[in-house]
Amino acid sequence: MLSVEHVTKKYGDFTALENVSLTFTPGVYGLLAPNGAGKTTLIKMLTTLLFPTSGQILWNGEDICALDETYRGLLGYLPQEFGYYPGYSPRQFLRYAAALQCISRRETEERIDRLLHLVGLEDAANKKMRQFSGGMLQRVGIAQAMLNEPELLILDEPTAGLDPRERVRFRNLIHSLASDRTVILSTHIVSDIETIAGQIIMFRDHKLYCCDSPAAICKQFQGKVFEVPVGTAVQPGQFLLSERQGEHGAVVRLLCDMPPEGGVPVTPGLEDAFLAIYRENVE
Amino acid sequence: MSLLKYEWRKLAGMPALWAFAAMCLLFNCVLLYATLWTCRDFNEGSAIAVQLGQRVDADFIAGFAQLPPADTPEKQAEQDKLLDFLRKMDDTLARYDSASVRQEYAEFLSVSPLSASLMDWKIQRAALRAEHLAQTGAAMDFFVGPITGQANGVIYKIFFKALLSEGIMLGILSMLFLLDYERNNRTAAAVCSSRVGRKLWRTKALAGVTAALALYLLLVILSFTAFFALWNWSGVWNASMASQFNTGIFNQSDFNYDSCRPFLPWADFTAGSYLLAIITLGAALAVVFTLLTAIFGVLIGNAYASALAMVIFIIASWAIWYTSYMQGCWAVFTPLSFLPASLWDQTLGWFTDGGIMYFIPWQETVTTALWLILGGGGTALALRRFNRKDVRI
Repeated sequence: MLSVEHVTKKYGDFTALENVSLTFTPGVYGLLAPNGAGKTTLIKMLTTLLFPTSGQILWNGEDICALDETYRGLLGYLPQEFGYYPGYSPRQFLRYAAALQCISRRETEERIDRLLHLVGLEDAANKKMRQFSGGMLQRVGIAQAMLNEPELLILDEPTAGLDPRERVRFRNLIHSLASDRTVILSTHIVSDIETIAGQIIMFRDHKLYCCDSPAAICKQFQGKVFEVPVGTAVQPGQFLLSERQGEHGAVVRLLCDMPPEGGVPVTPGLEDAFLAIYRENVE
Repeated sequence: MSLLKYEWRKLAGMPALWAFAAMCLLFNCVLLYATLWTCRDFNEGSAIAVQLGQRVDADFIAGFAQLPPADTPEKQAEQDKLLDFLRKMDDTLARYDSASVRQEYAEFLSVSPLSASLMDWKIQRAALRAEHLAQTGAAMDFFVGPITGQANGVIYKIFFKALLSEGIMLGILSMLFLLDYERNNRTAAAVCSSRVGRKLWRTKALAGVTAALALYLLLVILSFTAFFALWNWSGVWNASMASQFNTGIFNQSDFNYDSCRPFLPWADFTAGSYLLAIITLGAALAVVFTLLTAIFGVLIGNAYASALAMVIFIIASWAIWYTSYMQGCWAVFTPLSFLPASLWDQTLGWFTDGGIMYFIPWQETVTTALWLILGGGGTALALRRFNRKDVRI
């Protein structure tokens, strides 16, 4: 179990995260917040790249900084900006990643073959990565994050660069992995986590806003989301959430306490909740 | 070991490094070409030594007198002049007057009592060396005759110094390249969150040092292969470095006692063992500069800024040292003569009493050892600090 206890991170006078407390047990957690809200700061602290200014992060009751390599050995991490060595092939890069994870040579080859198959890169296993598309590189990144069969898998914007087919494949993969490990997935793309995350963590004003199930988060806005035809004037007290193609043409989704004229109540989704929660930022 | 190999591989994949090494080799070849005149005279002297041996004794003089006449009247005049000198030659080390040297230095350094007392102590030690060398008759070795001083100047002050400078630059480049590799490839986050984590930078420092050594040795081997293809050392390998022909070592000094004093090595160096010792100390000095680069590189975390810091450190320390020498500020000059930059400047005086440039026996060795400890310790501390610092990506 991973516990974040009253963690604050400051850069000089700027507070990136303030007094955050969280507990992670096996399952998928989605970190959902706009850019700059502190997701990556939290992730970097969970991966020991940054040290908390105050508070502590515990793995099964022990400080992760004190656990040092023992903790990092059970951690898999895909950074937001996945870097690679252009002159290496995926196989060579994964061998290097295995050496960094102190995985024995015998196990390394077997795991690399399995992971390359899992991310669909068997055919490109020996090609130089400088020739790869963004999506292919991201798949190499996912494979390197899973190389040590981590108990804690942290993925920062993992679906960036993936096409829709690859996204579905990735979501299925995460779902299958989450049964016996903790997966923390940071994104600002709601659809990435809507269906697979058991818990959604949201930050607002650099503080923890909520950590709840998607259903519970959406429930806050039950009866407050309506669809109206495009062109309907937005009245004071109403907040424009999004636009979509309905059966009878384009419609807009509004958030308001009172039903708008001609408005059809709809079940709020996680994207509605996200937009509603961060509406000040949008406005 | 596996990670060390990966770091070496990263370095081997850097074309700029190999291009720079190739340019260094080319430059060394140009240097050799530019010193062909000295080389020709050296080879002539070496050929005489092959024929007559090194020790100037009655047999040597008799053999020398029977050498075939020179090609030109000028050369014949030189040969005759040398024969006259050889006939009158005595052991200069046997009449080494340490008392007058002590007196002269004491007056010269009187403004700095510490410098004067250190110098006095060193000269006393040098006097013991002169006494020992006089017993061995080292000063009576021919080496390569009158060209010896000039030739050794070319070898150690120009050729070897260029080689050392190149080795140092390659070491600095290697270290900076390795320390900045993850930042350049945006892999620092993945590497630092792995099981090995920030400890990889220890491996990088080790890889940088070993690469510096390897590149320096590669340069030495290739450059000296070219050197020995031109310079015939067959007659001089066993010549004593304390040969009285080996003068002109400190002629860059305005202090005129230097130019007339003998070359007083702290051990019984032959030309061969001296060259080996110089190359070995050069390797250690290249490691010192590489370790200092590691300190800057780890603390600053940016290759360009670290390179700038290193350049400023080297130039500033050398400039202050040199200015204090020119101005006669001996109180400043004395401690600064223990800096790596000043040691680099004085390649020609390594393992000798060093004249005004050195204040203790074996100063170059002591200084290198001191800076190896400081560089190693500093790198260890910088890496320790890096372990506790946020990773800047």
